Amino acid sequence: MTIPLTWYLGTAFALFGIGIYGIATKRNLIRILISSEIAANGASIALIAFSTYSPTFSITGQAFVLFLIALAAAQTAIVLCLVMLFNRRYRTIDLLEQRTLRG
Amino acid sequence: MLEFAALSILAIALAILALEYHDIVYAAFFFGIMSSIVAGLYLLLDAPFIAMIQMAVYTGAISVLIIFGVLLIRREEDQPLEPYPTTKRTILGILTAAAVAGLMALAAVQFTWPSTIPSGNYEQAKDLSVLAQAIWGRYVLPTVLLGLALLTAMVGGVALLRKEKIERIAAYRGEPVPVEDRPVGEEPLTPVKELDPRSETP
Repeated sequence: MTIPLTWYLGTAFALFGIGIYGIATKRNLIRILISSEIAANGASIALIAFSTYSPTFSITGQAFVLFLIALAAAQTAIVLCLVMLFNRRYRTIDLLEQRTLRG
Repeated sequence: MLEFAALSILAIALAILALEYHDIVYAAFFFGIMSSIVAGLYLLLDAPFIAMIQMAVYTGAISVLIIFGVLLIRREEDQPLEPYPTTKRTILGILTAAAVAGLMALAAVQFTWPSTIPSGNYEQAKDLSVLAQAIWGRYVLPTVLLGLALLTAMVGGVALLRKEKIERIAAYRGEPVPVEDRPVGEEPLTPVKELDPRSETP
């Protein structure tokens, strides 16, 4: 009745893949932000699962997920500020409309 | 078993909905629900404190921030500009995501993972003092640096939005706005005379 670790890993990899898909295909900046958060959620599930299932127990996974969640909050705040500035200056949040940052 | 299957399928379905639903306000709500479902997966993995933090930060803070960001942008500006989405981009994106997830799965199956949780782990995983000793003992330097990173994010957010305010004051006083600071395709801003407080007193 117990769940093997590989099932949790499958869920985590599926969420990470969905996040990568969103980053690769979406043009709306806010959707790209949501995709990166989904990928971070997948990575967190993998870390917690490793931490709980490890034969010699280690709390490192849980501590790292705490750091990851706090960093995700900071990242979201900064990225939303940048999206606001982008929208004010160019009147769009479509990434492919702007070629200024392409170098 | 059943609860894991339900939570996992719900999380994946809500993640796909958050990316593919046409209205971005609903997509942000779907993302918030997905993060609470992921908190349920943490509860199944015997990490109740992390589940609480996930509910507080992801569901409570990040999704509300995203919803505010969506609402602050005008509706006609957040729609995709291509009327007929090309299938080439979608296929390339699915191939990229499948390659990344497949490579990770390929690396994961090289190792024989444990299929059950070792019996001593239940108590330790739920024990908050173990987590506190790890954070404030071995990882005290990353924790302090994390606080500095949060402070930097706050100051950075204020500084990023302050620049726009100064541009508007310059235009309000009648000073010329630098060309590189003007929005693209917009005429140089001219001061509004009837709103100028200096013009009211002769």
